[in-house]
Amino acid sequence: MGREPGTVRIEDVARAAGVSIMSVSRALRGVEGVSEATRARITRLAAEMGYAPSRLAGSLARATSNLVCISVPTLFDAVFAEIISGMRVTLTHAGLETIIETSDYSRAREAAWIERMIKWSPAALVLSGVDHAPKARARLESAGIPVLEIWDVTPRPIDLCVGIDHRAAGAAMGRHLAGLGYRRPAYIGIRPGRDPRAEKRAAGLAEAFAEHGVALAQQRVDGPPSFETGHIGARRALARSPRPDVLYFLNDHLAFGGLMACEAAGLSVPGDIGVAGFNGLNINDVLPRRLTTSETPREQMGKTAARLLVAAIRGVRPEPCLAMPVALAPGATTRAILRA
Amino acid sequence: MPGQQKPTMADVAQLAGVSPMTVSRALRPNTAVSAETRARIRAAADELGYVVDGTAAAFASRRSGFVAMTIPSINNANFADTARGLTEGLLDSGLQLLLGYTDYDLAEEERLVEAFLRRRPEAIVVTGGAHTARCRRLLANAGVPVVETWDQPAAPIDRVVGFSNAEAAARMARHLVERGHRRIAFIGGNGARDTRGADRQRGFLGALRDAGLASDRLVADLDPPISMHQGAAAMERLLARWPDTTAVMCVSDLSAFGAMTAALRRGLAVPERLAVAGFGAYDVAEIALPAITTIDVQAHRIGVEAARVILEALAGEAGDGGDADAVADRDTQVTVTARLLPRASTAGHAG
Repeated sequence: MGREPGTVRIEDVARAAGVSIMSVSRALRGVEGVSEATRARITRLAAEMGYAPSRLAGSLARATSNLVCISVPTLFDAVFAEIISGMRVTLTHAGLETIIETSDYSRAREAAWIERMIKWSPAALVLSGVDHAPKARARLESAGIPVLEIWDVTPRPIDLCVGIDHRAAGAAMGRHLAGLGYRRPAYIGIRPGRDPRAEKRAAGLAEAFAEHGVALAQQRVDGPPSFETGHIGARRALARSPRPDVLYFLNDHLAFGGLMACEAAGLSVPGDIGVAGFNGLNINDVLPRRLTTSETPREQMGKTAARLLVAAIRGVRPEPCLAMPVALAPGATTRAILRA
Repeated sequence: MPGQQKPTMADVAQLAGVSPMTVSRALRPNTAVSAETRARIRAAADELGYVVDGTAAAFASRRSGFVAMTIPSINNANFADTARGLTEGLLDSGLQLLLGYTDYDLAEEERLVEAFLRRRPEAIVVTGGAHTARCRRLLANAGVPVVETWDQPAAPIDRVVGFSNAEAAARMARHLVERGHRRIAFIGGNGARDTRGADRQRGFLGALRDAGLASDRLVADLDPPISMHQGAAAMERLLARWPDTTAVMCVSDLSAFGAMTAALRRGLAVPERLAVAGFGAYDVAEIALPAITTIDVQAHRIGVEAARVILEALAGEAGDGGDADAVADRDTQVTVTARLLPRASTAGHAG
């Protein structure tokens, strides 16, 4: 009540919250070791009491708003929605609001948005992926605003980075499919250069098949990453000669569209042709047969990333880059393991 | 309304009986103001619909160059289509669209609207006509064009681009009745959170009663945004309770797809044994086997029209000294047509 910020000490917060000093420290730094409920309670109490660790005073003073500004390539993709939904709870508990911009997979648009947002002095910026315009990157490196790159990993993050290794995920699927005896693989995706993560997965898949001396055919469709794009891409791929024996799609939504196209063409899946997707999207829960896919931890990625971001906003430097696990999930749309 | 004078910090100070400097301090976090004074100033600010303007001090006269939009969910192709239409419609103007998502929570909408207003958007677009009382005041006092979309509110705040959810769903009920169905059900969501979904349910059940049919076959406790998975589970419950149902409308195509899959898994032929209909014309409805009958609300066009309405309002303000209310009603209250798309999932005649 009317006390200057900084006069509240960590032990005051600990006493008020009925926890140890270590718990307060863990909660505010965003590290493991306290439950999310406790973290939320401590964060709220600390904010109410005006507690600010002295060495963080500088960064707190700079963050003149409670906005976390997030750039995603598209809203037509459950992946980003699920990651953001994972982030949201932690950010809300920390008193932060999120606003979103869609770049439509355009680096130039993302760069223009970054310029505008820097002027707003947001609490933090969140970018999708690790491929940005060099100029935007340079601006961010000197802006002094915490930046989180999400959904991909790089050895050189701008600031923080939480994601998965897309090339390795594509390669793992490639080795799995090659191991099942497939030899005429085709990748079905959108126009090259739009989705850098999907390109990395396709490259990983191609590498794995190259080890067997097999080349990867590619079928690109100029459209959004939708069911319909998968449907169109599969129809075109099926018209190729020789016909592919397995189709690897940009994601599960395209794979589902492709699965419908294969069945509409009178082909049996997996008898005549294999179908594989990516992400383990929730459409897989209701399909009559589960798609072969790679499951990515989107919600968990969002939660983890938000925790690290809140720590960064409070002036703590967490581990700069965190790669999360991807699990290969063989389903009923590719050959069974034992049938060569 | 946009023509009205915006409340100032001095107005808040007067009402709260403090100096403008105290108001300025109290409305920012981590400042030295007593809790009691802070609460009194907040109440005064709320009453007047005053929003702290984060950029006002530095850029009082400069245009911010962005349009704000709140949507209930970011994992929804319909709202994504509206956002895309809005972005396209604003492209030539150089205005940038920034989105906030409310997770179907009106309190969250209020927080977002306030956060946006601090940054002085050129216009603000919201989804639906239901808002908290304070959010309504904030929007009404925003001093910029406000567009409510996806709805036809009884008391519009300012401009509207939308359709009647109740009428669109009634249309689907009549379609099913015309196909000879008599035992018809509805799968929907928790209406307290999704008021547009609740309007659809009301319109659908009302049309059943108008046709002299029972309207008690209802599974409507799902938590929005309603997933395919929830649709499937709801269908299981529906069939367990009313196994002789011959037609079902779901509140969205995603839940319809899940519901249809659940029926097919149980060996019920669609549409021969059970007709299934959705709402929203999602691409999954078109790709599904059988393709799902749905209502196309022209989500993309809602965005394009909202952009047009905003640009006209901004041009009008620039042209005639800010009296945007002078624009004729037909230009500020736009109705898009919700179209029925009959497909294989409701084909044929029942019984």
